[in-house]
Amino acid sequence: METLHSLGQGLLIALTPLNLLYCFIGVLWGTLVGVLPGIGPLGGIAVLLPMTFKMPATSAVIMLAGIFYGAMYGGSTTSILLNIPGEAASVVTCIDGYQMARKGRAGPALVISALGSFVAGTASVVVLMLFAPALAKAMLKIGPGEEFSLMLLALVVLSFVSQAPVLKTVPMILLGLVIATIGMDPFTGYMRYTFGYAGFAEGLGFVPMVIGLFGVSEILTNLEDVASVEAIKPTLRSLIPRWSDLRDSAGPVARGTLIGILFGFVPGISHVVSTFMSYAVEKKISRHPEEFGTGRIEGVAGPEAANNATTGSSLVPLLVLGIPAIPATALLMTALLVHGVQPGPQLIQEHPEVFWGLIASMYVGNVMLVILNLPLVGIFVNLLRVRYVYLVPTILVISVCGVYGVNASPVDIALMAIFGLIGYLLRKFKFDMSPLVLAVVLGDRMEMSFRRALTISEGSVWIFVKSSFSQIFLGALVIIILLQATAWYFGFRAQPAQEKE
Amino acid sequence: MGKRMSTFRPTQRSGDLVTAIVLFLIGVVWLVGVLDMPKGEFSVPGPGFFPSLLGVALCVASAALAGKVLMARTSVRVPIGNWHIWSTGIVLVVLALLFEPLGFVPSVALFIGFFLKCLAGFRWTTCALAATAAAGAVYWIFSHLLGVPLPPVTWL
Repeated sequence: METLHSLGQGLLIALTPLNLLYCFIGVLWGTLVGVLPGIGPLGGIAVLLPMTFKMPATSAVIMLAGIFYGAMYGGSTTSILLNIPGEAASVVTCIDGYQMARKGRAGPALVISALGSFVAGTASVVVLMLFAPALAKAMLKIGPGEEFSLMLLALVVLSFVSQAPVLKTVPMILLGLVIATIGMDPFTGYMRYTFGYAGFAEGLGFVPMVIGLFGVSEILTNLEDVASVEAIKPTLRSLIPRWSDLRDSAGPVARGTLIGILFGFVPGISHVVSTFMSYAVEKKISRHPEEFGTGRIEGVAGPEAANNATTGSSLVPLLVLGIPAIPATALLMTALLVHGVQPGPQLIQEHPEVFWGLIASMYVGNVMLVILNLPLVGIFVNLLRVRYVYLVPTILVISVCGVYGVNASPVDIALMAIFGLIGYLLRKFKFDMSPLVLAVVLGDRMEMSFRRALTISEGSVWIFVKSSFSQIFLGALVIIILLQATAWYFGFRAQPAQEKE
Repeated sequence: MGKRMSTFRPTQRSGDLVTAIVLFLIGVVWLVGVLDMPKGEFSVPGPGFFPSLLGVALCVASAALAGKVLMARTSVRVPIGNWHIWSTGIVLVVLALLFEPLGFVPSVALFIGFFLKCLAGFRWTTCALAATAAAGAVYWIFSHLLGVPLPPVTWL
């Protein structure tokens, strides 16, 4: 009852004309950046981040979250019609979605994708709404010792679930933690690793780093090979799915939703993994697994549902624990911090309008996305007819505006360029950059909780293991390491890329 | 614009090894940097305590990666970069240098002009006009409409 009352309050906030407008701008921009290769939700959020500085915190987070889940909808359109994933999570949708389009069934693929996304997106918001307040209440009891154990667990999970081998991921995590130590020491005010440059007192710019590593590096990768593409254009009438399409999609959507929600909770498990998992499950349980890859509706419905379900549930670790599960939610965390809102267990108590306003806006935004995506599909596809040489400066100039707007510093533009080149090289050599970015975000708090815990306990390391919360976190950590070690011992672990090739 | 010739074709093994060496050096730099910092005691850790742990851990992790790479027997070639990729990175750094001294519109016009000339192959006059118009439009949208602080032209 209390939840419904709070949701009602949230709806009153989300349905104000201004917040509706911001939500609309967010989902529209999100769809656009999802459609266009080379920008994605990270770039999309970063670009509009400076614009939100003058807004109230709730409006800002409503708009930025709209970009995040809007991009997931947009990515599927180009996967189905062009065989080009607008963002990484839509790669799986290409397999059967494009084959359906080639057989003249682009319409049903788009409709099922949109409806599946809507169902999964809404379900994940329900989970967020029901689960987050209870978890936050429990998390209010944790101290610095438990907080450190929790973050250690998050980083260990991150190292094992990464798409790269552990030996490549652990140095990336440590590099992220090392970068996080740049700037003023939060306890003593001592300047660390600033090399005499006052601009680094607040640390290395997070926005230029993220835009460089993910946005610019993707543009540079795309500059290697840009082939001309032919879009398949569905007519409005062909959008109507058959009854059998709806029937065959119901199960995959339900299973994809469940997979997506579960994967969203785990730090570092990107949308990509949940979509591949959903596809694998559908293929495994299908009576006709041999037909997957030739245009099965289940191959579109499941992964698209998983993709959008992950979006909602990935907000749980951010809003309740203050731990961003993926780089996009790390940017949302930056936006909240800029507005003086600290994500974590106290968020729901201290800023209920932000939490419930966001939840309510996500229901509204999901409805907007279904309405937007189907009739406007032709317009979005036509965007891809624009030659890539025009898109490159456009995306880069928008990124420059976003990066410069945060601190009004040209050093951030140079940092973006440098991280772009570093990101390009890391991509080429198959290093995963998400653990690096998440470690940068967690590093500061991890050090603070570590030092605070040692100070409170007067140097006793038992503070990290004595409480039941710590024992749960560290127990989970030990189990994960043991499972991984066992898998390695019996040779289940995939070999590093260079050995396979 | 199709597939272009790569500038370098190092092996995956050498790329991994170079990355491991760079990470090891960063770890060393962090450990050297810690020498001047107060470390405090274990019961009251100072600002140098955590970075020194991280420096050691990064050195060990990158050495482990290097060891694994050196033990690998086979490796594939990884095509890296072409003229467009390197020039895009360099032009972005140049933009950062010119951004405030020149102001938004001239510096971004030069930036866009570079792409229109070098990637799309337009004539100089077309490049100049299109780039200036685009830079002006972006400035108006972001600075006036969205309120993003962008450097104005002060030298004219």
